[in-house]
Amino acid sequence: MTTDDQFTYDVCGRTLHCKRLAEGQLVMMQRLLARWQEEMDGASTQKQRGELIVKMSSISLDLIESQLLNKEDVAFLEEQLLMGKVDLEDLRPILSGGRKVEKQEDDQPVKATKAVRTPRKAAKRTPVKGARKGA
Amino acid sequence: MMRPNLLTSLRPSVVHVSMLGRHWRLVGSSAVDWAGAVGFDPLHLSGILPGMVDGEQLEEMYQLSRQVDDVEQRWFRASQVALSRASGRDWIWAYNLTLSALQGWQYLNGILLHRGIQAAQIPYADWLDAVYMLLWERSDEGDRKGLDFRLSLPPKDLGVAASPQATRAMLEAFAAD
Repeated sequence: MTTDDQFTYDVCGRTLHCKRLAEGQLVMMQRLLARWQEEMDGASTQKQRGELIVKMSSISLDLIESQLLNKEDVAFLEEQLLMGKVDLEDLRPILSGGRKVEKQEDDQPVKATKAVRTPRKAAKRTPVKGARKGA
Repeated sequence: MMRPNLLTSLRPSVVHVSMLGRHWRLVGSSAVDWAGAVGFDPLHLSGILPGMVDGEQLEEMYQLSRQVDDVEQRWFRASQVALSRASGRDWIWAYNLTLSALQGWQYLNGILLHRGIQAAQIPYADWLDAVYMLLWERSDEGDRKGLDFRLSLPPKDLGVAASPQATRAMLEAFAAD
């Protein structure tokens, strides 16, 4: 069931009940992940890349866990991650705070929209009874 | 030591806020930076905090934010202060005027561009001056009072409500002008 502040997500046959990330937390997370990704792109050593991967994974897990409403789900998810049955990419919908992510690419046809109503023609003016002609 | 200057103290080119025991530098000074930040999330002002926090301080902000339960409320309050400092005005006034401008952006921005005012280059406070005067000069006497009144009203959607007494006092003040 999806409400304004909660949503569900199915992982490995289990339904996780999540609360949506608050806007500020989402902004913070996205900025940090983007910053670290930039650093990763510029990283020259394996050690630097490794440290950044650890940071990104850590913040992603922190945020996922902060959204899970049931403690049992936290333990379940950690187990699935450890066993390699799921990775952070699979959990992207949770990382997006429950917000829908548009996947349509720019080269796809735009969905048909409702036809725009043509404006009504202006009503013909009818003479007012008793008005003087030529007034 | 910085030179004593009323205008630069009222309208600093770089805005700092304090929260969680630290001082935070906000990146961005133009009208596009600030109006865009407000428009990004008008309900929570997350485009200001944490959105405009200097990238060098982001990690520290993240770590400290995890230690308190009410970081969203703290960001919101600090964003109001930041908006006030960046605009040199009461934050409610700056907020309302910014949203009005965003709603009529194509029209308003077009007029300002014709007058050589580019939102991406002008400081936010100066841009607010220009926007206000544009609306003011195109209004008659009655509309001008209505404009000032509307800009002063606390935005309802943010849960920032003036007390009935404060609203009455505001109405009386406008009626007396």
